[in-house]
Order: sequence, then C-alpha cells, then structure tokens
Amino acid sequence: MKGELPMLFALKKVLESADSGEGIAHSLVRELRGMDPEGAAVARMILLGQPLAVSIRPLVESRANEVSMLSSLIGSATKSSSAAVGRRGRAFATVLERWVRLRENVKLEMKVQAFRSLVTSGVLGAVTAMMASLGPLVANLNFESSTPPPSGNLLLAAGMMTAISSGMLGFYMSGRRFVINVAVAMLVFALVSTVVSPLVDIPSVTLWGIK
Amino acid sequence: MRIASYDHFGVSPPKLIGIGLASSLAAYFAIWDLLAEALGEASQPAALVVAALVFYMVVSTPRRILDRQRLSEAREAVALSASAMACLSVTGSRSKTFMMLRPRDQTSASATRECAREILLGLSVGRAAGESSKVLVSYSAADALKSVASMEPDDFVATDEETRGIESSADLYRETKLPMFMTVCFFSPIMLVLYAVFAHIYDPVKLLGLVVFEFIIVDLAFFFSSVGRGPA
Repeated sequence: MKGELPMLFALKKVLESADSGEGIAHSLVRELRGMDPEGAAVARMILLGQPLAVSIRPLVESRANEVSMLSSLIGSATKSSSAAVGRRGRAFATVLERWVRLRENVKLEMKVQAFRSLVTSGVLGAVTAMMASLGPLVANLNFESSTPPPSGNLLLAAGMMTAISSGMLGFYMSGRRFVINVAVAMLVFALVSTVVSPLVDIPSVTLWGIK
Repeated sequence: MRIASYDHFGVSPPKLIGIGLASSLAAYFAIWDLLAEALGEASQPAALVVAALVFYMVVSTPRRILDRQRLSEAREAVALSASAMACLSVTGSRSKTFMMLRPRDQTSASATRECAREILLGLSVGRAAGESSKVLVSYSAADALKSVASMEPDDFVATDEETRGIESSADLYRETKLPMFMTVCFFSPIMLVLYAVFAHIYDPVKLLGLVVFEFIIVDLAFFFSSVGRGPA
C-alpha cells in the first residue's frame, strides 16, 4: 500500500493499541510490515533489535508532513509513557487525518486544472501559429502587393512565446510535468503553422479594375 | 503592506524601501534599454509597470515569509499540545515537560528551547512561557506554549482552527489567482504577436526583445499567483 492516508491509519491503530496497553514496538511491526518501503524499514529495524527512537526515524524524516508529525509523537513515547502517548495521540491523529483528506481533495482539483491547462496550451499554440502565419498578410491590408513580408522570424518568436507561456502554465499546475504542456502547445503550433502557411504563398489578385 | 512583519524580523522599513527602490530602478532601466527598439514610446510605461511590481515584490518579502511561518507554526501547535499533554501526564511537572518538548518547526523549537533555558535560569514557568511565546507568529502556537504552563494533565487545548482558516484562505487565493494567471499566459503572447504584426516588427533583435518581455510578464504573473497558494 502507498500514500499518506494508509500510513496515518496504521499509525492511528498503533496509538489505539498503545492506549489499550499493548507495546508500541509490537504494534508498529504488526501494522507496518506490509506497508510502503519506509514502513517496512521501520518494522525491519525493530525486528533487528534497534531502539524505537532509532527505528522510527525513516517515518520521522518522511516527506509526508503529517506522517512525520505523528511518528515523532510516537517516538516521544520512549521519553514518556506509551499509554499516555496513545491516549493523547488519537485526537491528534484525527486532526492530521482531516488535513490529509483536505490535501487529497486539493490534489484532485489540481488534476482537473492541469487538464484545463493542457487544453489552454493547445489553443494558445493554435492561435499564435495562426496569427504569426497570417498576420503579416492581413496587417498589410494592401491587396495590390503580391509579396507579403517574410514571416519566418515572427513565426519563430511566436513559437518561443508560446513555449514560455505554456511552460509556465504547466509548471504552475503540475510542477515538473510542464514539459507535457510545452509539447502539446508546440505540436499544435507546428501543425497549424504547416496547414496555414501555404495560404500566404497564394498570389494575390489585384483588385484594381474590378467592377 | 503590514509593518508588523518588519517589526517581527527587525527589518528597518527605510532600508527595505531603499533596497526596493534600487531594485525597481535597475529593473526600470533594464526593461527600457531592452524594449526601447521593439516597443518604442510604449517601452516607458511597460518599464514603469515592471519597476512597480519589482518594488512591491521586494517590500512585501517579510510579509510573505511571515505568512509561511504562521502556517508552519499553527500546524505544529496541535502536535506540540498533544506531546506536551503526554509528557505532562507522565512527569506531572510543567518544567520537565518544557525540557522534553522537541517541536519540528524551527521557530517553535527555538521558542521552546528559550523557554526551557529561562526555566533553568530560575524564571517561573508561566513567565518563561509568556516571554518565549512572543517570538511566535501564530496565535495557536503561542497559546499552546502558554497553556503548557497552566494546563492540568487532562486538558487538551490546541485545535486546528487557525490552520483551517489559513488553508481556506489559501483555497480562496488559489481560486482567484488561477484564472488571472491563465489569462496572462494565454493573452500575453497573443497581444505581443499582434503588436509585432501591426507594428511591422520583423527584425530578429526586436522580436527577441518582445520574447524577453513576454518572459518577464509571465514570470512576474507566476510569482504573484504563487504567493499564498498554501501547501497544496
């Protein structure tokens, strides 16, 4: 099992066992043996005869803040009493459980937002590619001219701007997975600019004399 | 801008404002120099906006650090209270409880250490807790520390009300700033490409200037949107 909630539940059970008079080391081994690598490491160290304060260190130094807080409380039982820690720790574990659940909800929301940012990056790639390709032609508004200004540099600059914007958006939403946003934006950018660029090369018809 | 944050860190407001002004002036001239060719006359207002944002970034740094510290302390308060109760019910002594407490948060740990030191120097537990809790920003952390000096072994004092308040304000910040950041990311390249098209900017150096300007805009928007996001 992986994740913070299963680990919190396991540690809460350890506190309940301690409250009912069971030894903390014994209940830690029972609850953590089948857990993620950190939990398994704690169980293994206890079985190898390491003191509780040393054995629980992988959990205290864990990246999960709530797990670290609860395990440091369990570790403090060596200095006080396991029954007292068990009794006080249960209310504390409930508070921590609520925090973790809140964070899980935020993570779910962030997943939806990350998907939205991918869509935004794709649309951004399409719009900037379209504007950079057709912009010079439209901006001239001179239908007599047969040669629109070269848009190569503008296309390159628009591509760079799109990459920067989509990268930052991706970094804000999903951290290191911002590369996916950049890839999506650049793919759509390349696709749209390839499709649209032949339109620029169509020789314009002079409107002089029509009517 | 809360001056209380300056007092807490012992920062002199004129000094920080001076640093802010120097940074914003540097940003102003750098942006002006960079965009003078590409944006022409529009480079001056753009540089002014960037300089103002840089100034705000510098002078609001203590407040941002204080907000982060407050959340960390408020979260630690619940753990501090639980472990203090466990220690107190075993030792029955408030002084010994202070000696045994080992909070994980740095500021709470230094406040507890200071309290233990003052108790060892002969101060009463209540006074030592009151004095050392002054360095804490979070009211729940300060209350938790003070309540150790007055609590009975069966009390459980600290709750997570402050943490929940901070978390919900972080949620509101997120809801407000996310659309803002998305808008900036989406429209800034479009606007700058439109500007380049209608101002007939095709020179690579000028276009590079616009790309750098876009990076600065998005980077500033990222910074302001990330502030107060909370520990998501």
